[in-house]
Amino acid sequence: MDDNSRYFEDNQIMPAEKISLENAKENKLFYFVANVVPYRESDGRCLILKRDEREKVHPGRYGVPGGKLEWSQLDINHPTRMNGDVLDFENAVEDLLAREAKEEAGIDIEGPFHYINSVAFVRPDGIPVILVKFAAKYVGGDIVLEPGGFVDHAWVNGEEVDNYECIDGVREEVVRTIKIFS
Amino acid sequence: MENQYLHEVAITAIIVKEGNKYLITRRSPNKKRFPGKWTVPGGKMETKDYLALPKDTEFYWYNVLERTLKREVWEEVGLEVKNVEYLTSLATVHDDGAPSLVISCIADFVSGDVKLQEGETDAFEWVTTEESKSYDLLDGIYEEFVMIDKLKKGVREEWKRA
Repeated sequence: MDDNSRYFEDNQIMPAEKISLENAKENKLFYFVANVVPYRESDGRCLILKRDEREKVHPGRYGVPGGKLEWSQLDINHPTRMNGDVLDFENAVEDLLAREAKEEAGIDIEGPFHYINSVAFVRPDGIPVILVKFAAKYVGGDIVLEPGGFVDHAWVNGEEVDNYECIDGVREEVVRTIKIFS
Repeated sequence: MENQYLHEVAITAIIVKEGNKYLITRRSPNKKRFPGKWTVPGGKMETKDYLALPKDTEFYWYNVLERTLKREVWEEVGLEVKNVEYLTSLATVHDDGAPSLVISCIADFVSGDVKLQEGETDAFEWVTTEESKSYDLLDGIYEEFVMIDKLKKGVREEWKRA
């Protein structure tokens, strides 16, 4: 770290010492959420997960793994790169999706991640959300559902997905994912 | 504890012309972040990009990445683009501590002559990946050009150090 300080001093670089929203523009702050449709190559099916009936949002309906980006997970002392005095963490969304697929469903997925679409919405508490959806290949791992998260799962193709009550858009994303990979 | 889920979200566009030429612009010397460095067009997401528009479904505005990107490109360089595609992502922490997420996209040039937005950038070039080496580019952009060159040959991979 001493080496770093010297380097920063010599180059007049002053990276942030902590992450804070103090200097962020309030009207430009969002929750960023990414979801991924895992695709199993051996039989051309996608994984969907059933939400708990007690969930407030979309109770009992089928969705896919995903989650919110969290800046507290960025290790400010170990950026993957320095860009001037800006700390960079590469592949942030890709890492988030791999982590969520593992945590929520116990599976490993592999990039590259294919973009499906993006939507914006506003949460009931007024916070704006950007949600981006991706497709990626399932490469291994037995399904282990995260306690308190999902209660059931299914591997479905473009027709079978119709037998499940899905969150809006999920059916179309499954169909799109199968098209991307086949 | 501040809300650890709130981020600025920026979107950048690598605009492709004639198959292998990419638009780069030079940031004005008076910019706070990266003055004089060569970069690609882009900017921060704002709720005004969609709040005033009717929703596409009961809850959602669709294609927000595409919509914001088209606006940014139009404002900054005066071009029309199509076929917006996701390329890669980057979380960053600025020197003022603000956390942001940068979504890097590719888009095809449609029409227009480059017209730079005053105060933002002061020069531009259309360059191949090879030619881009002689410009003082923001770190990471060269690697993205390499990624796109491969994509055009049907090879899709994650961002990695060239």
